[in-house]
Amino acid sequence: MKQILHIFAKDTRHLWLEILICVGLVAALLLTSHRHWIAGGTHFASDVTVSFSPLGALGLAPELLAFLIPLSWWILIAPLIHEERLVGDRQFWVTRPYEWNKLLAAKMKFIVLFVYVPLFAAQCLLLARAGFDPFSSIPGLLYNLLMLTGVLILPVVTLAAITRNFARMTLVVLGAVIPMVCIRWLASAFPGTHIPTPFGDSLALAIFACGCIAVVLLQYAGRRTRAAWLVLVVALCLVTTLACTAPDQALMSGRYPAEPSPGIELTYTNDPSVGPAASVASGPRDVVINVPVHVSGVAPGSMMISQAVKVTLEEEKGSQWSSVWEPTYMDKYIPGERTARVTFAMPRSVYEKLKPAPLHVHIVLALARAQQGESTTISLLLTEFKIPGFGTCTPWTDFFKPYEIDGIGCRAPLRKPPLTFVSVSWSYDDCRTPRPDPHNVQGEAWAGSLDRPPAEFGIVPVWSEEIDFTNRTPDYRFTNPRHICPGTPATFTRYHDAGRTRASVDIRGFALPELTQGQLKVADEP
Amino acid sequence: MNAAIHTEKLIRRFGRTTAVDSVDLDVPQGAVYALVGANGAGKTTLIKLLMNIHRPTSGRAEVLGIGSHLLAGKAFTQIGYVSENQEMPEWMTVGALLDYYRPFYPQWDRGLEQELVRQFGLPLDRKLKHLSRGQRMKASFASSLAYRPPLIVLDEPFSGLDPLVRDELIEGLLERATETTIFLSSHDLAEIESFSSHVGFLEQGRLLFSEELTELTDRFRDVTVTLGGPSPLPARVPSAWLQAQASDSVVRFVHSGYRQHETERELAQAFPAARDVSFDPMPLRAIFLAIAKSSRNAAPAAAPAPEPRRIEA
Repeated sequence: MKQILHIFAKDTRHLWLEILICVGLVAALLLTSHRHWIAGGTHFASDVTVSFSPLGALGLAPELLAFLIPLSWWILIAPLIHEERLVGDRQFWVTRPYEWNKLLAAKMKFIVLFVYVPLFAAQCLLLARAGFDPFSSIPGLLYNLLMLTGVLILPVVTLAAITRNFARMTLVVLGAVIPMVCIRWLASAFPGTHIPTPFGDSLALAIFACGCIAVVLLQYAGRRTRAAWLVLVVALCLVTTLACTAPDQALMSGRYPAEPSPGIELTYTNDPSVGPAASVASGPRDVVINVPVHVSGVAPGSMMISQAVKVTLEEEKGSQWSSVWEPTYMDKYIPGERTARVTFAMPRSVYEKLKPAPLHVHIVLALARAQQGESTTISLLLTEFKIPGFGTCTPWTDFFKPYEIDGIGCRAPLRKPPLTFVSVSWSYDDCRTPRPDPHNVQGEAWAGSLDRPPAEFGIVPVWSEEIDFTNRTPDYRFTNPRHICPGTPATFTRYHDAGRTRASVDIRGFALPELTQGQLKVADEP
Repeated sequence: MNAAIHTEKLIRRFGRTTAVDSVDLDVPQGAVYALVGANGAGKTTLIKLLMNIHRPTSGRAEVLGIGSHLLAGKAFTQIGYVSENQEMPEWMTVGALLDYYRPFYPQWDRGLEQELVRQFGLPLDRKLKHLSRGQRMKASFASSLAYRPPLIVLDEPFSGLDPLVRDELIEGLLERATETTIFLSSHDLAEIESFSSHVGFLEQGRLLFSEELTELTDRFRDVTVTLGGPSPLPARVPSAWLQAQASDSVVRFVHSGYRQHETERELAQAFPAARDVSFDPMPLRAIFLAIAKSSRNAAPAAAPAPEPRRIEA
C-alpha cells in the first residue's frame, strides 16, 4: 500500500497540469450542460444567441466538451502509463524494487481518482440539476462507467502499455484508423451484418476488453511486448471475424420465435395501384424490391414493430434464393388495417435469373411486440412539466410569439424513456384567440425506445430530445403552420416490451417487377 | 552458493544474431569483476540478461541466488544498477529523485546518501534534465549506493566521462568495495586494471576467459626469442602462442599460458638454437589486444586459451 501511494503521489506531482485540464473540463461540463435545458425556454432566442454571444456559445459547449473530455483522458492516461513505460530496456524503474501489481494498482488508483470520480460526481450533480434523483440512477451510472472503461479508458491504457511514448502512441492510433476502416468495410460487404447485433456486439466488446486486459497484465507482469501485441492482434482479428460473420443471424430464430398466433396477420395485397416495385439499391449490383402487404389483426392495446425481414424466392422448377435477415425501417403496426411495404434487397444476378418465372415468395418479419401501458394526459403549460415514467419536458416558445408553444423538449435520466406515443391537438389560429382545428388534426410523435440498456453510452447522463410532431403544416410550403396553445391536452402513452415473435406471408405466382429504364441505366453501369 | 552471479550456458539471440553465446560465468562474492570486450561484444546484453531486462533464449543465470528470470520487486533492494544509457525521470530534481527512491529501500542510509551527495558535489535542486552527463552518472551512482546493496552492477559506467568525474566515481565505488560485490562492464582497460580483482573477456558473445586479474597477468607474457640466424616458426604453433611472428633472427609472440619452468622447457624444445629468451609481463590493455586480434584472425570457434578458466572463490 505504501508503494502504491508513493508512486501515486509522484505521478500526481508530475501530471498536475493534465489533471487540472481533465477536472477543469468536467467542471465546465457541469457548469454548461444544465444551461442547455434551462435555456430551452425560448427556442428562437437560443438559436440566435448561439452565434453571437458567449452565453449562446455555452449552448455548444456540452457537445464540444463531450469530445474534449475523452481527449483530455488520453493526454492524462498516456503520460501516466509512460511515466513507468513498459516498452524498451532502458527504463529507470525496471531495476528498482517496483512490484508490478503495486505499480498497476497505483496507475489504476490515479485513473479512478482523477478520471472516474470527477466524472461520476459531475454526472450525479448533472442528474440532480436536471431534476432527477442521482441515487436511483447509480446502477446506470456505474454501467455507463463500465462502458466508458471498455470503449475509451481500456484502449488508451492498452495502447500506452505497448508503446514507448506519446508520439508512438499517437502514430499507432492514427495507424489503427486503417484497420478500423477495413473492418467496417469488410463487415458491410458481408451480407447480414446490418441487422442489430446485440449478441455479436457484446461478444466483440467482451473479446476486445479481455484482449486489452490481457495485454495490460502481460506488460505489467513481465513486459512481454511482443506477446502483448500478438494478443491484441488476435483479439482484433476475432472482432473482425465476428463483425463479418454476424453471429446474430443464427440467433434470430430463437430470438423471434414462431408462434401459432403471433397477434398479427399479413396478406399479400393484389391492388395494382400499390403493386410491387423494384428499384436499384445503393450498389448497382443490388435490386430492391418493395412488396405491399396488408397488415391486420393487431390486438387493441398492443403494437408490433418490424425489426428484420427474411425472404425466400422459389421457382417452380426448383431453384431457390434466400436472403439473410435484413433490417427494416422499424415500421410500427398499430391496431386496425393498413397496407405496409416490405422491402428487401437481392443481387442483380439473382434478380435477372428469377425474373422471367412466377415465384413462390415466403416473407418472414421479425417483430417486437409492445403492450400499451399507462397513459398520462396533461394540459400543456408554458412551464416545465413531469410525466411519470417518461421524464421531464420543457415547452419551447417562439421569441416573437411567447404565448404559443413551438415544440416540446424532453429529458430523461441516463437513457431513452420507454417507447411513448405522444399526441396533441393542433390549433389552427393564433393562440391569442384559440380555436380548435376544424378537422381536429392531431400532432403525433414517438419518443423513447423498447430496447433500453441500463444507460446510454456517453459523458452527459441526461437524454434529451425534441418531440417532433406530425402534421405541423397543412401543406409542403410551410405556410400557416399549426400551433400548440397553452392549455391544449397532451397525451403520453407508454408502451412496454411484450416479447418478440415472427409473422410470415406466402405469395404464389409472384412476378418480380421490372426495373424502370432509368434504373436499368444505373444498374448497367460497371 | 557463494557466487554473487552464476550463469550456465546462457544464450541470447536476437533474430539470427547471437549476442550472448553459451556463457558460463561465476562472480564470487566480494569481487570487483570487470567484464571487458570490444563494442558489440555482448557485455550490455549479458548484464541485461542478469538484471532480467532481457530474457535468455536458453541457459540460466542466478543473481544473489535468485534465478534472473525471477528477479523483480524486492530482489532489487539488494542490487544497485547503473547504466550509461539508462533513462531517468528527467523532470525530477536530484533531491526529488533521492526522496522518491528512499522509501523503496528499507536499508537506505541517509548518512551515506548525504555523504555521497557531498562527495559527488550533486546539486540537489537541479532537475536531472539540466545535468551534465557526468552529474547524471553521479546522481545515478548516489541513488544506487545509498542503500548499501550487496551487489552493484555497472554497465559502462565511466564511458564518455572526463577523468576527474571518472576518478570521483571510482573513488566513491571503491569506498564501498569492501562490503559489496561489484560487476562492471567496460572497454576501457586502463581504468579497470587499477581496481578490478577479476576480469572476464567477452568476444562476439563468447566468454573467452574469466579469472582473477593477478592470474591473468601472471599467465600472459610477451615472449621474445633471439636466435642465431633466420629461423621459421615451428610447423605447429601451439594454441597458447598468440600473434606469433618471425623476422630475421627474432621470434615474437604472446604466451597465454605462461608458467616459468614449463614455458622455458617448452621454448628450449621449440628453439634449441635460441641465444636469448625474454618474458615480459604485459599490461591488461596489451593482453586484451592480443586476445582480440588473435581471436579475430582465428577461426570463429577458436579460443586463445585452452579452456576458459573458472574463478576460484
